[in-house]
Amino acid sequence: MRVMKGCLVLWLALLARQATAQARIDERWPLDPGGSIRIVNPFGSIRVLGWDADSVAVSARLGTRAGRFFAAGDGHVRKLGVDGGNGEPAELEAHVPRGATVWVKSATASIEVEGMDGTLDLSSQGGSIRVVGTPQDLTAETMDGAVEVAGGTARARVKTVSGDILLRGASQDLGASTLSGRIVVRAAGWQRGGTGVQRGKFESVTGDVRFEGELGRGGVVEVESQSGTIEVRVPASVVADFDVLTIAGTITNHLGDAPPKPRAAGTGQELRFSTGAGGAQVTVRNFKGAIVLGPK
Amino acid sequence: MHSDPTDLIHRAQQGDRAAFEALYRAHAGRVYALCLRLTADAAQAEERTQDAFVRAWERLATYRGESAFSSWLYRLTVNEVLLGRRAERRREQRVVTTDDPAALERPRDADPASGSALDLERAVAALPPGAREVFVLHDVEGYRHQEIAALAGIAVGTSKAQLFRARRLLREALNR
Amino acid sequence: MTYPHMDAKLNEYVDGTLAARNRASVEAHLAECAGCRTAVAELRSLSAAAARLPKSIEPGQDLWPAIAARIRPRATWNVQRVWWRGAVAAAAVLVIALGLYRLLPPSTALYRPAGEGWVAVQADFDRASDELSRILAVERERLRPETVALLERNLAVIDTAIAESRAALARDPASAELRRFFAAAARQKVELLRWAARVAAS
Repeated sequence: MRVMKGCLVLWLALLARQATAQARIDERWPLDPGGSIRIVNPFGSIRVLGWDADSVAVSARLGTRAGRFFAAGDGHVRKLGVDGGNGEPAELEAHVPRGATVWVKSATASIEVEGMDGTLDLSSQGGSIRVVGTPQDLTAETMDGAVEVAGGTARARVKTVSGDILLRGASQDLGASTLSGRIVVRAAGWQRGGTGVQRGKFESVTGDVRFEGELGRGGVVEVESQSGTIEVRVPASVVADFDVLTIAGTITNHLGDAPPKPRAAGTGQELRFSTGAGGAQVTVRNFKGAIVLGPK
Repeated sequence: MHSDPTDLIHRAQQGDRAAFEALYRAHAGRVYALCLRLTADAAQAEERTQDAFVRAWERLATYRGESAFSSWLYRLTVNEVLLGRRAERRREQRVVTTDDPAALERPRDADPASGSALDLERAVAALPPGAREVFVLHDVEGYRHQEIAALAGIAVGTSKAQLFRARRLLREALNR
Repeated sequence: MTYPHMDAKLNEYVDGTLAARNRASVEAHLAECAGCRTAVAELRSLSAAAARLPKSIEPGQDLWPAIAARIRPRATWNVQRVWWRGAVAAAAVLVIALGLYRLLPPSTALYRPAGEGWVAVQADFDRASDELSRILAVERERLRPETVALLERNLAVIDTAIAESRAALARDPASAELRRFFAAAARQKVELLRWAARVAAS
């Protein structure tokens, strides 16, 4: 009995040591400044950082049962990541050339991208996505995780099912769609030229949508929901045409005197007014949720 | 079972093992030939063939028909073999002198191996691994250097250098 | 034997990957060098012989039993199933159809008889979404439980929204605005189901 217990203790100790053993990967390959890279890691975390070297440097820590690290490619196209692994997390960090095209995929691993200028295509099932910087073109999709984009993009498309979306900064062409998450857009002056959001479309089914910011001259913003609360907060001095409609919800206007009127064509309320000629265009549609317009 | 191949693939993707077995029967010879020439070892080739099909089963859902199923399967096979070699670093063995001398003499299609074809097979099997892999992928299978570089994780220049080296060694061996 | 520095050039020449001006200089050299001409002939014959090797070789034994023993219904992350292509294609077509419909300027829509076109669109949507929902119900036990819960929660949300839209549309069938709301909700549902299919297939 004592011998067996001794063996058990030894076995458990070995098991514990094995469990804490981790594989560590540190690799570097050349990659053209305009090259492209695909990164896959199902669980844990993925960080992509832009730098000015013409190479990709990866460092990763994998638990013993975290699947295996793979990499292939050349100076133009590279793919790397962690394959398989039944839920064991792996932490993966890659420095890539700033202008590279980056494609990232995870199951529940969080995705973080900083300092990239090129095209980003980020997709996850349950992981959060966070982008800081000024990517030219951004597509981010996650079902359950939250998405945060800070900085500015020329074009961004963000989609979740239930994750919250926070878009901060300035963009020329913004699209955000969610089913039950919340959308918050804080638009600001645009570093690359132009002011505020030029084109934005924000939609939800039941999530609340809040748009706060400046609207560029000639900008077009559409906000739609089925039953979430929509709030549009713009500077009192904004020059824009407003076209607001709801079937079974309410409209509250703090941007002027114009009150909502019953719809001409059926049930519900509508409100159309203009704060000046040649400005932006704001269209708001809410099936049965509340719509609030007010100053920033 | 003679079925529309796309139907087999669909069914296998939904978990139908009988359909997957039919796919195995249809492609096993090709996959094995690839593994055998890349590894120059019949025992390893059998293992890699199994690995390739197991991997294909796991990845089937990612096959969306953008390329022919066979192309997808063979690339996956090459990937398995090349990754396996790097991970395990086994010492390669010569297929003719050890395990299964007859391995190269059971071609499924084409004429029975003529004398010179067999000499070529043996000479290829005797190449150092890097050169052999590139030669098999380029001259036997018809992949381009860009594709080989991507599959093997090497630079295009390296792929060319390995190919030229392989050809030089083969010419020397066959001229003896 | 060939000059060593010619070796790479001759290989590239045989493979047809030399730049035009280099090809000319190699051909000029070949005209004068028997050793290199032999090399080129050997390289060509070697490549041709390699390409002619049998593409298929029978393994020494049937490997299927060993493979069969290793393949199982898929586990966790690589949970695989591919959605019935027909249904996904139908849904995709429907999404496009609904999208196009939404692009019509409201005035055009008002004058369009609220008859066949729109009714057909609704019917198509119902069919595609039923098919996808049915597949989901069948495959449910193979998805991760959290994914199933997420899916069911959000399907319930979107089905409620669709039902409300549809009811409003029933009372006011010609309303372009109501159609727009219905189309938006329908599109969200189809995209949710297509997302589930993609997750399952990844």
